[in-house]
Amino acid sequence: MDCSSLSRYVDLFLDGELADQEHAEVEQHLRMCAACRDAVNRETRFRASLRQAMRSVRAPGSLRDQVIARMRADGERRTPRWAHTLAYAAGIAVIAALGYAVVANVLSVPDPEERALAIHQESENTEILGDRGRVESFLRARAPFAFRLPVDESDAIRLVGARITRLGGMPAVVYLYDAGGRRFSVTQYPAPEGWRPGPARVGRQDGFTYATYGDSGLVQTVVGDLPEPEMVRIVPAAWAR
Amino acid sequence: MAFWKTDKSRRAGERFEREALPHLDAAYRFARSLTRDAAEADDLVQEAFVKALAAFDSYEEGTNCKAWLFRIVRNTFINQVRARRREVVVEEVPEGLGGLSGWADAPAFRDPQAAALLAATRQQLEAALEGLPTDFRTAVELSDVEGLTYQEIADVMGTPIGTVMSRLYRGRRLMRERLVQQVGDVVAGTQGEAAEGGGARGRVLSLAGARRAGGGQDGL
Ligand SMILES: [Zn+2]
Repeated sequence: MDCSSLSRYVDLFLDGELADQEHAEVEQHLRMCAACRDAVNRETRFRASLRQAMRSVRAPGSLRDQVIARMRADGERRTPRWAHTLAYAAGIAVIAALGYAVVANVLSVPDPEERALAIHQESENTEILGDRGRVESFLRARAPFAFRLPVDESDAIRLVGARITRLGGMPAVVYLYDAGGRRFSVTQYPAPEGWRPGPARVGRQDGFTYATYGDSGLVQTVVGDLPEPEMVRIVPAAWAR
Repeated sequence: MAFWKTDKSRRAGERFEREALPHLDAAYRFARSLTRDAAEADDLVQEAFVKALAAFDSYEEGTNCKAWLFRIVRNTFINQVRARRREVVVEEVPEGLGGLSGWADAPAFRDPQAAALLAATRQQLEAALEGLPTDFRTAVELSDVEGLTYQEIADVMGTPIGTVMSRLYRGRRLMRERLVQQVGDVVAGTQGEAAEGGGARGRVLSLAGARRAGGGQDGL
């Protein structure tokens, strides 16, 4: 294969649509020809950047909740007494998974997506929906460490539920809060080895804002579909910069 | 989950959650691309997922669930458009880009000007995709962003595989031309302002460069 026929096959090659024989011929040419190799590398990088840029578009949390709620409502059409709690339950599952992805990043735990799914599946029977009183008594009976409600409630911020889960082998409690119709989660876990208390770390990942803060005992990561200033307001004053 | 009424619907529901729900973001992206509107994309995804759950029996395990969902999203979209009797905009396909025989004039992939593509910002990438005729854009997004195979794209779009290849080829080429031009403008403009003589000369130079990169090169 020469340079000019390679240029005709390059899209098919990069799309993985060439037959084995032709694929091998392209590879053979790329091993020998630096100019084509550079061009293919550049094209690969361009495609990666395009993919990354476009994949940053994510479904809004509210849509996810609605889809899950409708799916479950569909499966439960004849016993609608659950219906009003469905969206919240769905919210806990989804936001717990999100919280996990961020926390996994903070703690460098591998395979966040796989783990997030694991959370979703293994913790379904250890969650509670309800106000502060219900959540506290539930956690007092079951939490695997000395938990502490992580965020002060106010007119604008309300606790709506919690679940007990594990993060890479570590126990954790995920709290779900409502802030004027938008939800955010707080994942709380015993401070991992090497954790240094300090001002809250605020950042963005996968389209969500997060803030991590805590003392030498407990660390929490707030995750939500909220603008950064709102996120900063949620963090207790002691941890704000 | 405790939410499902019967064992059968519970199992189907759980399987659906496991296999289909992880593609919600992708389905939403596709819906945004088809509708070009966030609220409409929301409605489209909801309707498509309800249909998908109802039709989950027709999903063949082991095949690409994302591609299966995309087909439902696209069919739902077409039905919605028909139901609303929205005027269908006939998009003009730019001339001179070759037809099915497009493989003969290969992309100028070794052109040094193509390096400018790597400087494109997210906004520029989005704009370049949005500027494509819908079918080209769909083909490019399903391949380059979502990683579907040609056959899967053909199934989603309900067209022969040759049409997919032609749309991909032309869409990619159009997109790159526009990007090289845009990015070239910005880069040259910045350099021009930094140097004496202002941005105007840089702009002219870069446009000449973009034309060279875009239209003038046939193969290597
Ligand atoms: Zn070569």
